Amino acid sequence: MSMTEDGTSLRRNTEEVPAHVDILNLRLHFGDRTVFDGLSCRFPQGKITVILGASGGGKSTLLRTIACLQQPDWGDIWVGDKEVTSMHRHQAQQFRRRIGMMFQGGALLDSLTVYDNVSLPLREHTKMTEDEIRETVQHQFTAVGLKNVDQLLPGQLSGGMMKRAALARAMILEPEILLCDEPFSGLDPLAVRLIENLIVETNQRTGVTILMTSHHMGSTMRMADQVVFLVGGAAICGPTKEIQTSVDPRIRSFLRASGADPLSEEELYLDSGFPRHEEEHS
Amino acid sequence: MFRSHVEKLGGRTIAGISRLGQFTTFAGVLLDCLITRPFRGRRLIDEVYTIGVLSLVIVCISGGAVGMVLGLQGYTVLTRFGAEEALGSFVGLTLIRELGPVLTALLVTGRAGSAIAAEIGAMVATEQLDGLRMMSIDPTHYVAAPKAAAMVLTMPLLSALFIVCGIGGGYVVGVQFLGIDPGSYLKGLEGSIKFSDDVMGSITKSLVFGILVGMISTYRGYTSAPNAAGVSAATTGTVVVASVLTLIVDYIITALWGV
Repeated sequence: MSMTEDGTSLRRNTEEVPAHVDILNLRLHFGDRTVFDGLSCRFPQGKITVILGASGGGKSTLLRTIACLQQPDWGDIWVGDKEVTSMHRHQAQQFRRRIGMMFQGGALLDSLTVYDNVSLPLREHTKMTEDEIRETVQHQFTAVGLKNVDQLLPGQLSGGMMKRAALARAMILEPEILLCDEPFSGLDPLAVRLIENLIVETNQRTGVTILMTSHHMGSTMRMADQVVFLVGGAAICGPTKEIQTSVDPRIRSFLRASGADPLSEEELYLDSGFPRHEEEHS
Repeated sequence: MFRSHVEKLGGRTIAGISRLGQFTTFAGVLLDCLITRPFRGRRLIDEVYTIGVLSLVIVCISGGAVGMVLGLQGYTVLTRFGAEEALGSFVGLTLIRELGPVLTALLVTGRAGSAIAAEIGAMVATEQLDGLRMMSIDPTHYVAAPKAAAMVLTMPLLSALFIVCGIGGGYVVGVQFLGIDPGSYLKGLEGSIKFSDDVMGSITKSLVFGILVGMISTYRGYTSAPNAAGVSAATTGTVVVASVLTLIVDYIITALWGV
């Protein structure tokens, strides 16, 4: 995928691309609350897939389940030729070397400098010399557009810099899959565009499969090759254009809510999980 | 009515057993982390500094104050029997056999144990432990194990320091303020304390308390809810549980082995 000058994306057809992550009949409950109720979807290799849905709809939980941070009640998740839900602790730890994750809040270790944070995976999993580590980290800093941050602590970074540092750390071991949890949250519109371009550029440069959760419709439409829409514990998948023109009322109301058009009360409460006024009073 | 009470009781019992099982599993994983490579020497030294060196002042001041109180109280009691010359033995044995290890454990629990639980709890809340997992780094190995090991290493050393300061405090009160002969104070100490019995018993107690506080503080932080209330509960829980268990285990060790 590439971005044109006016910011619109030139999307590739995702139908012919083999699945890198394949989710089959996923079920998960937190107490009485159903998060996934037979969710099935596939994420094509080397593409950017954006996961959309209402708050509390299970977007972050889906990423965590793929990363073996959350065990589902039922269902299979295939990453390449490996089924990951039945992995033991040590197997899961090995498997995670194939995945990078950019957390919503960055999740950088606040007792380490930015340099130490990004170099930590190299120190733990490679036999690189100190010079090689320095060179690799500096290269990664350049790739994400970070300068003069080596000795700063995470608490001294701005929101945009924190996201860049998190992306640098997630990509340092050159993973096959990059999971991005709300990469645009808390950023101003300019910073959103910068991070957006950075993620697309990373995808183009490395061919990494990107799974991203977002509430940001503009970015989704510009970046995504495929959209997975989580609704009622299930997933509606499709190329971005297909989702944009969907006639499903739940998707329509979500898309309309992100624009400037007014919403009817019917649309507002559809699948939101919030009680309507008359229900509250009754 | 009666049935609901029984159900509640059953639910709490099962939850308690479940938590005990979780704690045992965590302790097993922690032990496994301590004996598997890589050995995190640098992190261990950092933690020894945080737990040990930063607790020096509080331990020295408390030890000195306790020793001075023991000197005053001991003198008052021993005078009734005309045995004030035994003040050195009284202060030394009380500190070495009992108060040194126990009070040090309580002080370290309040200062360092609560800090460990809060730090790990905050790491849970800000997804830092998940961040480590996503780097294929076991957070128990990287975060919890060095803290628990440092706690076990520093507890006997801090306890020894507490005892030395306490004996010094007792000396100041007994010899300088109350006029006891310095020779009889020191001779009483030297003659009554047996290394194989009293000192080794003191070290054993400190090591056991170190293991206890280290495991409880890391476990409570590790299993805290990922929010501010969770961090707060983990901190409070660590201080309460570790303090009460220290006193109970102290009784059990004393009753079983007489140290």
